[in-house]
Amino acid sequence: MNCDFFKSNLLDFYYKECNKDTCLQMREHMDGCHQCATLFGKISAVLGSADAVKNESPDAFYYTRLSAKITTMHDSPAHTRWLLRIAQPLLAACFAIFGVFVGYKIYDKLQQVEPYTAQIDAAGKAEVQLADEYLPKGDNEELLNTYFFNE
Amino acid sequence: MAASELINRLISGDERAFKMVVDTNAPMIFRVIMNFGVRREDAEDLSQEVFLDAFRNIRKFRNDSEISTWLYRIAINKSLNFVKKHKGSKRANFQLEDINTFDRNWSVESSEQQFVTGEQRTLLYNSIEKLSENQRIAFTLNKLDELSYKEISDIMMISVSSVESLIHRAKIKLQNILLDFFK
Repeated sequence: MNCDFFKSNLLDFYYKECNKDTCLQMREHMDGCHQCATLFGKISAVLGSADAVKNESPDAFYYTRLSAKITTMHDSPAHTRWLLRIAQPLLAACFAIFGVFVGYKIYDKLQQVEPYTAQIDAAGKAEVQLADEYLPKGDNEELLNTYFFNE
Repeated sequence: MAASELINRLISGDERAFKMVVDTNAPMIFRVIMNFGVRREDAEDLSQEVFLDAFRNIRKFRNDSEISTWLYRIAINKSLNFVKKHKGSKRANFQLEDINTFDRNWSVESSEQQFVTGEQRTLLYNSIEKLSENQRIAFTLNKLDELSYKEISDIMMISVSSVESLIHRAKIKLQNILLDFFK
């Protein structure tokens, strides 16, 4: 038996599905070929790794959770579940639209405030104008000396 | 209890009959789902969905097969859909914790060894995923769930010889995939 033949029968050998003679030859080949023996070891480990699942089982509360789900299923009939599926996104969309609407209203209000600032600006300009009229005209240095240093 | 009587009791909403079906079939349905590469926590949810679906559609159940066969079909469909949907995410996360290690001897198997086993299992499921869908179902049910060709033919609704052929081709393909990997 050569290595190629050994490789072509690897899975059958692992699952013990090759005929008696072939199995015997495979074993003999492995005894004399270290590479094939290593390869078989690696592939056996991969195929055997699924064995752990054989001991698996659901946990102790499996049926309790399942019956709770069944109760919920009975409590809310199919049309209610569909209604919920539609109602939830609809409600979310309504909230989003309401948020946009409120935001727009607030912005609008802020826009209305602007004329008031314009009024303030206008009043300020008038005061400046009035002050200009009443302030004595002349040299700034003279004014400073007169009013601030009493000279 | 005869199968027809059991079905009638399930249709009438008999909780004891339902519990009996769940208790009898839950472990194997759970393992079938896990053997398709689904994580433990997802496998629990999926297997519960299998029973819920079966319970919802019990009136559609035709008495031409065993109830377990019907549950297997639902479980396989759900598993394949789940794996397709979560390809690259949940599957990639199939880890050591997915196997209930507390039931085994931590002291005997070192954490390093457990890591290696986890890697090997990932390699196995990734390799099986490369098979065609029918080959994959037949191979998984036969080699991992240890079902007979007859049981698989009932589940897949194909002849026994077709099952044999599928498994034979699956073995050759899987062998080549693994040989390529270890080349």
